[in-house]
Amino acid sequence: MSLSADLAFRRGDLDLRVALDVAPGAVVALLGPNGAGKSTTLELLAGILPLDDGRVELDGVTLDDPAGGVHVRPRDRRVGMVVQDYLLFPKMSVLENVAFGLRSRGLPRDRARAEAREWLGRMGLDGYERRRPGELSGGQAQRVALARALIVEPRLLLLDEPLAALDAGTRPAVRAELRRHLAGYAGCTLVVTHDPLEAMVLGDRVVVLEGGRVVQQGAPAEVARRPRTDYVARLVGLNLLTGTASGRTAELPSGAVVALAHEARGPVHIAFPPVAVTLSPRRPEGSARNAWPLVIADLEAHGDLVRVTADGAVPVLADVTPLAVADLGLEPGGQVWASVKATEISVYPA
Amino acid sequence: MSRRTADLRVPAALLIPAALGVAILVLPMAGLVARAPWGDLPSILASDEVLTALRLSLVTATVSTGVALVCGVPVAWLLARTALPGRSVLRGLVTVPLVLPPVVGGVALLMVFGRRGLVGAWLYDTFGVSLPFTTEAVVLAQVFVAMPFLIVAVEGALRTADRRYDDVAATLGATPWTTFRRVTLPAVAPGVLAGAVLCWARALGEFGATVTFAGSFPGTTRTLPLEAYVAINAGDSDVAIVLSLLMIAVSVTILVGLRDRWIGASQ
Repeated sequence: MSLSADLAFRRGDLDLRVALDVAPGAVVALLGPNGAGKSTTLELLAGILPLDDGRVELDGVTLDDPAGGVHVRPRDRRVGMVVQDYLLFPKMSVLENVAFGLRSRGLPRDRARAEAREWLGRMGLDGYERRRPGELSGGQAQRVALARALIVEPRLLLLDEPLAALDAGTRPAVRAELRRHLAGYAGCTLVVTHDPLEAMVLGDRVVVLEGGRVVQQGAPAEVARRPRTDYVARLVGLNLLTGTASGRTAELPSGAVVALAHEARGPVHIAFPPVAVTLSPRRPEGSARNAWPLVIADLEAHGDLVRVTADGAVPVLADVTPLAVADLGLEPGGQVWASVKATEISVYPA
Repeated sequence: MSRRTADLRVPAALLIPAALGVAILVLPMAGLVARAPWGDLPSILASDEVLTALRLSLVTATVSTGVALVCGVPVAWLLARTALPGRSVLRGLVTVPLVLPPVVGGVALLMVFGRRGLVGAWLYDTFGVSLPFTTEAVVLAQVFVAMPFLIVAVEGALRTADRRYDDVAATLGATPWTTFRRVTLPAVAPGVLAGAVLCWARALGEFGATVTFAGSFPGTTRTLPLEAYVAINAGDSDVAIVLSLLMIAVSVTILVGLRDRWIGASQ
């Protein structure tokens, strides 16, 4: 089972052009800020919205081909959907919710219910058959929604922010559980999220969407290590600069020069973690060849550390200890030198 | 709340017309209660004319509500959920009876379903059926006047119901009919119920269209409001008062029953 989609869709401010491929059994995480077109992508794949142009193929079956006049109705697509607020039918029992898909496909009530009961068992929800959706916790509701979608054996499963409705305390456990359930599902899965951790944990591959375009994709570790846009860099907590390398140095658009540990040529991304940045009152002596005079723009608590935002020819984020903040007398508007060892910097083609 | 007690000094310019308004609304009902022949009430209620009219009213209002449900809910669905061309015109047309004088509705029904009317002539020539001045005519008049109440209530409920449930049902393989039956309808059930009750109450009180289109024949078309009108015209004010009290009791009961939906909603 595999998905191959080439989507073009324009509505209001959104201009979506996305090509997506999901390998059989794979989970692709679609990561992006609000308004990037993530949910629209899912609605296009589910057939709820019509494509302007492009093509959707699932297991070799063409679901959408506007040029050829093909648009398979949502109910005939075998595409399951679980949304942020789960949308369990509120007037139906949990069992009826799960059995809904089978009964809609003409299965007799008893057989549909028996199978639904089995699914509830698999989801660890024995004894919840007669509950109403309103009586479930967020995690339970999610499992019911998952069972309701999976029972009809969809070839493609779409999850729209499946963990966003949960409180922070229960999220890790439900996330781990969801990952387990997805591992046991043979079809393709697309998970939409704006949470990088969720994308990294759930996805075999991460596709980053910004402004209706795919700006980066790859294995989670690859995306986390080598961000290609400011948005991704901020999400994974790295400083990201873009410049032109020639040998062991790279020049930034501002004219500042960054010393590199390895040779590189042409347009490059330069990434380094905020903890690798050292702040000092004067130009540092010693091994750090990258030292820039900056002006502090902002100080903010960041876990045990303080995240310092500094502007200048090379804008950086630096994580320093509260003690360092006190020792250096850091405050917004103050001058400071930031230095980074070349060995802490990772460089990759832009 | 206590912080607002100073505001309770209502200016006379508001208080006097407000008191007048309340008096206009409440005094007539109080008058009915004051003039009611309490001693004769049981015997009047048990009289043949009253019982016949009451039975006819209950039966016709209930049948009318049934017809309005079967036809009105789909109309509301069309108005709320489809991109039908000319939808706003259709909405205007089906809600006209809300503001139309009922007697106009009666005249219109007569023009269409009368023995020489557009549809009536055909009905008569083909099936030998003549609608005017029958119990069926009473039902038709009531549906004409009361169904818009149901349509408006149900359309409102459908508009506030989350349409994404329909999308989810579709991805699960449900046809639009299954979705309507098992997802949409249960979700708007309270709105349908409220609309049906309102429709029933309006049908029960129907007078103008009924008397014009169906006439006033005891046992077949003389419903409670017509019976009250006949009684007051015949100078029998006691019967008229008792019938009026009966209808007020029904209205108040319905209002109390729906209190949480409308009156409570504003609090």
